Amino acid sequence: MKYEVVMGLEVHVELATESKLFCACSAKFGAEPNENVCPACAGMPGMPAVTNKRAIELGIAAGLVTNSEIARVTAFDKKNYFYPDLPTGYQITQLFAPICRNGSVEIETAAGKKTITLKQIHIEQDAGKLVHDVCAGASLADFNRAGVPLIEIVSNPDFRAAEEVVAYLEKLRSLLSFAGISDCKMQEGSMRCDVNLSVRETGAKEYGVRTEIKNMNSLKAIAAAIEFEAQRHIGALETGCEELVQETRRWDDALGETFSMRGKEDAADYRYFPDPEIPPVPVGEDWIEAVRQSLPEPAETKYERMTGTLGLPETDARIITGSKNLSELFDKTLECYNNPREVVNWIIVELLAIAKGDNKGEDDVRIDCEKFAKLIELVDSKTVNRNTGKKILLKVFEGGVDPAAYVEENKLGMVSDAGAIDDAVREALAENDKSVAEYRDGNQKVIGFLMGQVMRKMGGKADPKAVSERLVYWLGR
Amino acid sequence: MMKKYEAMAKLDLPEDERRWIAGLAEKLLEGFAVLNDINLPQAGDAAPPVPPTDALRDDVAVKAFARDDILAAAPERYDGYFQIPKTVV
Amino acid sequence: MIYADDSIMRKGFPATAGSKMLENFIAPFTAEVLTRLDEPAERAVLSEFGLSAPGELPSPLLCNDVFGHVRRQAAKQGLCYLRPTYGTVSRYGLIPTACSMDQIGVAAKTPSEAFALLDKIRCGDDCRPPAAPPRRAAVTPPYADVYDSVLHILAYAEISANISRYDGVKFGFRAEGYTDLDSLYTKTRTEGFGLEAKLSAMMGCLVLSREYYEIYYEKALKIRAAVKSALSFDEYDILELPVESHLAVLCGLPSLTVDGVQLAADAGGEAWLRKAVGL
Repeated sequence: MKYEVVMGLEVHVELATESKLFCACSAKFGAEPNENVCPACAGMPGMPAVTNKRAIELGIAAGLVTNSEIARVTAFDKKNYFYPDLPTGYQITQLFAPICRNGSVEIETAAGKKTITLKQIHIEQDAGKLVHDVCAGASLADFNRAGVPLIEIVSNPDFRAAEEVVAYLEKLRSLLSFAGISDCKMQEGSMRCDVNLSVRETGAKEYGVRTEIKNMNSLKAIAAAIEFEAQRHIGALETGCEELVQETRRWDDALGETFSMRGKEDAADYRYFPDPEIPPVPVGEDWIEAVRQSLPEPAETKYERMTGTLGLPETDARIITGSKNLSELFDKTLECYNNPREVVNWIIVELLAIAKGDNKGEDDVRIDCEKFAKLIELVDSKTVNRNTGKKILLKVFEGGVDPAAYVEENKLGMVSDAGAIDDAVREALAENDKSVAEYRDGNQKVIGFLMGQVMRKMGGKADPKAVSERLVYWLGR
Repeated sequence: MMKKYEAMAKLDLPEDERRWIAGLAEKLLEGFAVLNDINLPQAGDAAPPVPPTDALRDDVAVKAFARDDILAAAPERYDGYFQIPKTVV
Repeated sequence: MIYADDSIMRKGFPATAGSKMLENFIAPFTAEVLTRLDEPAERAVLSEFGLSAPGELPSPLLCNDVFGHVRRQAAKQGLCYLRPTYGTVSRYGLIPTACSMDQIGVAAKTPSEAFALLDKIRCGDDCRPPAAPPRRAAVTPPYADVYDSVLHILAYAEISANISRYDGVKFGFRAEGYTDLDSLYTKTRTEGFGLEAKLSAMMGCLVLSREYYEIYYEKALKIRAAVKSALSFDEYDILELPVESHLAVLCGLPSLTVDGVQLAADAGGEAWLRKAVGL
């Protein structure tokens, strides 16, 4: 029997706002427990909710980058349930008039291109955090995250393989982080994904029994959880020794298995109703247009620009556009020194290597782009050679030194005076007549050794290309 | 019939209160039945409970309350947290 | 001396909204309305979340009134009750009953005292007062027979959500003798709420439940919308209503209960109410 896995995704992404969705508390990650908490965050009565304009704007932006229809008027609803991470006993979310509907996201896997369609995107409050291992016998509640704005991106059941899910999440991450909608960090929980999965015989029209898998905090975990759950479903269908029930299952990363989350059953009646306090928000064409104008160039367009008009290799363009940080770094550096090929080379080959030594990656490497550009220019114009350039780059990276002033102070400027190079070449040849003889006998390799001798005489400050030219010239005499 | 909503509301009423509420609920529901007789002119969408507004808040973070003041109200607290019975085994 | 219902918070003072749930709750900030007064207001406990009839009202008194209990009690005592247009007096610092109808109003001995106090506490000014004397009408507004049910359905739904926060976890009353989280919730709420609050919580769950949402809550919302759109102040400026009528509360209209009648004007029409009582 052949089986087909059918999946739909619910992706939660924390919006990159300064403050929470309905109060002015900071929305930043990493504060001391309950530090970003006001009476409203602690569920106390008397503070009317006031909607954060930026959160709506980021919701609109999410709609724009996913080709969604954006609501003319968007409204909030209350979802009621009791749980200690939910201080008010209701979550403010969007059921009846979500900010976006009917979007789509293009993905690409080894199997080719595919369009994933979205049911809707809605804005809602995040819940607080419960800690179970700090105080013996008790659970503890931290409401810093309670009320932080999220969007939930709900896809249709369009996925058929784990690779598609991973490609989709990577694509979403790129789209959303490029547009400044979220930093999409799975480890910090600012991007979370629940997978609804069912299995049916290939060709069947009806869906199988659906389970929802939660608690995966990396792409690897998601792929593994899908693999496990799909096999569990297939096993149940084939052997019939386990009955599949519609339920929520929790992924245990250490054990590599999913477990039924009894007690939090889907039968709950959340008693959704339009929020009786928060006025609906009209979203006019002009507002949407203003958000559209404010969006940075999407990764896709930038990739096309890099490989097209800028003539850069596809692999390099992929690396740069794979990270919002690198893209910005590229743009800013290019603005100061317009040589795309060199700028890309210096970022990918040198800067990332240095950053790696400092335990930084694509997303968090930082450098003063103006100084970085100056450095590239100094090497490009042969004021210093590439090796010296690398050393100065380390100084710029570590201490933000000014490359031009540094070169000046330390007399690192490259000798491009042909006379000085000629003198050094002639000296070196005179001192190494054995090597000269070998060269003239046809051993081209000794030229490397002779190069080294010349460079040493010039304190490493000569343009290697010029030295090589002059060496060949004098050896030919 | 009200038992279900009692549980939903996280209540566990003594028998006398349960009877009192059941009696009142019955009367209320009888009254609510008049809604069935109302035919509305257009069967459009339900209007929002409050009218739309574009008066939104600018995204500025403000710290106006000290953590200890908020936590002082908690029936039980521990090291900067609100304390509750263990929710996981 | 001005009195304020105990659901209007003053920083550092108890604010119980008449509920055992909040018997030890100290207000963390001061309600906007109280900051607009020249003197601190005296606390007055009316009823739990305004759900039942209060005893003798002190005056002048600032208080919210969703169900009409205060309006009726004021009429009984020969006081007037002025309820301004929805949203014109800040709800900041008011412990909510039913948000879409919560509105702090004023009970006072005379309309002129009530209007003077309203002028202090509200945001913004009257619209331009009418030149001509207001036209009065005593017509029955649309769907008047069902206001009581519509109001109760909407209010119960909103109250049930608003009082979910009282669970013994973050502040206020926590029952003793619980064994786990669920029993903490249930014992706290069973011991902390009065009968009317319990009834409201359960009826709210009922009207919002899957089974009844459409026929009760959604229908009530639609009827309220229909009333609002059918109501027109084209042919009159002042509508004379019985004290019991929920029209003004449902539609957010200003109303003045005085001399055994409830006068309502169009939203923002406080100036007509003044004129109607010769102010």
